[in-house]
Amino acid sequence: MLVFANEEVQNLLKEKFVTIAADDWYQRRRKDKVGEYFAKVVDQSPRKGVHTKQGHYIFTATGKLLGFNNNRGPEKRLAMMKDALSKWDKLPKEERTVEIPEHGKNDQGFYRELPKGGQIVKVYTRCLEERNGRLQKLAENKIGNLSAVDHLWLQHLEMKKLGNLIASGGGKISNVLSLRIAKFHLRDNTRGEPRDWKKNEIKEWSLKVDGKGKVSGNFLISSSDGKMGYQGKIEGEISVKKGRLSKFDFLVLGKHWGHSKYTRGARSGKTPMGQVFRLSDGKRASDRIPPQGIRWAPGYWNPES
Amino acid sequence: MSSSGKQSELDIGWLEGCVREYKLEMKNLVQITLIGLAVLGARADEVVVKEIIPSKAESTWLEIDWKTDLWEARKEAARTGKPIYLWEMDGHPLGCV
Repeated sequence: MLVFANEEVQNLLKEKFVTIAADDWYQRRRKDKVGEYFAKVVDQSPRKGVHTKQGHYIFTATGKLLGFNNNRGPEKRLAMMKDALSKWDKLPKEERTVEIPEHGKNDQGFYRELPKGGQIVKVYTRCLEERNGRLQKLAENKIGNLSAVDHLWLQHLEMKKLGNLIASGGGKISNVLSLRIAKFHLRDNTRGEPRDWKKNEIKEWSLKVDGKGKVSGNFLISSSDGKMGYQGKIEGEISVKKGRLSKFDFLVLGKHWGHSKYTRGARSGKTPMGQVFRLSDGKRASDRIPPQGIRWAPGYWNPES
Repeated sequence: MSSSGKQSELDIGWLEGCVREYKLEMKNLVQITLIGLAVLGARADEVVVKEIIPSKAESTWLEIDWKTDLWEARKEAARTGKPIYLWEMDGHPLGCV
C-alpha cells in the first residue's frame, strides 16, 4: 500500500497502465479462458511451477510478460515499471492494439458475483488502543495499525425479511444473517486472512432490531482452547425501504485476542478492536469484491449448515 | 388551606403542590440528563467510527482506477493501447488499506 501511495508510482499507473487487483486464491484455480490467459502470463515469470502466483505483473493484452516484481519498496517497483514501459515502446503496433473476444462462461467454482437484487455492506476493522481516555487507532509504527476492508453480502429476500421484522415492531435478527455476520465478519483481518469462526465457537450471541430500526447485540466467540476470541457489543441502525436497504450502520466494539495461521503478530492479551459496517452503493469495482468468507459459497449463504 | 385562604399548620395541600412541581422538575431533569448522555454517547461513537474507517490520507492509493476483472482489463488494454499492471495477492489486495 505504501508503494501505491508514492506519487510517482501513482502517476505512472494512472497514465500509462490499465490497473487490476485480483485475489490469487480464485485466479490461479480458474479453469476458463480467464484462467488460461493468466496462466500464460505466469508461465513466463519466476512464479511458473510455484504454488502461489502472488506478485506484481506487467503484460500485454496478448499475454506477453513485460515485468514481474514482488518487492515492497517503491524504488524496485518503479524500476520494474519503467523497464516494462521501455519494452512496451519497442513492441510492434500489432502487439499493442489487438481485438479481444468475449471469454465465454466463468468457472463458477472460482468466480463469485453478487446475486441479482443483492446489496453490499462494507465492513471496516481496526485494532484500537486507549490513549488520552478514548479509543484510538494504533500508533503509526505498530503492526496492524491499518484498517482492513471486507464486504458483507445480503440477498434480496433477506432484506425484505429485515424490513418486515422492523415493520412488525422488531425482534431477533434471523439466524442466517446473524451467523453470517458472526462467522465471517466479526474477525480480525488487520494483519492477513483470518480463519472463519465455527458455529460451536459462538458461545454467546444476541442481535435484535426494534420497530424503529435500532440494532443492539452482544457476543462472545472463542476457539475451543480459548486461545483466540472476540467479545463485545453491536449497536446500530437498519432501514429498509421497498425491500431495499437504505441504511445499514453497525458499530462493533469489543476485545479480541489471539491469532490464526495467517494473522500472526497479534498484540498479547485481550485488546480493543472496532468495526464499522456501512451500506455501499457498489459503484466502484473495489466495492464489489466478494466477501473473504465466500470462498465456500454454500457455507456463506447458509451458515447454519 | 383554611376557609380564610391562609395556610394553616394542619393544611398540607400547598405542600403536595410543591412536591408535584418538584417531581415534575426532577422528571424533566432526568429526561434532559438522559438526552445529554445519549448525545454525548452518539458523539463518542462518531469519534470512534472516524478512528476505524480509513482516513483520506490512508486511501490515496484507491484513487487509482483498480479493476477487478482480468478480462475487462485485457479488453481495455487492447482498446486503449496500454500495458496491464496486475497486483495479485492471496486474499484480495483491495481488502487491505
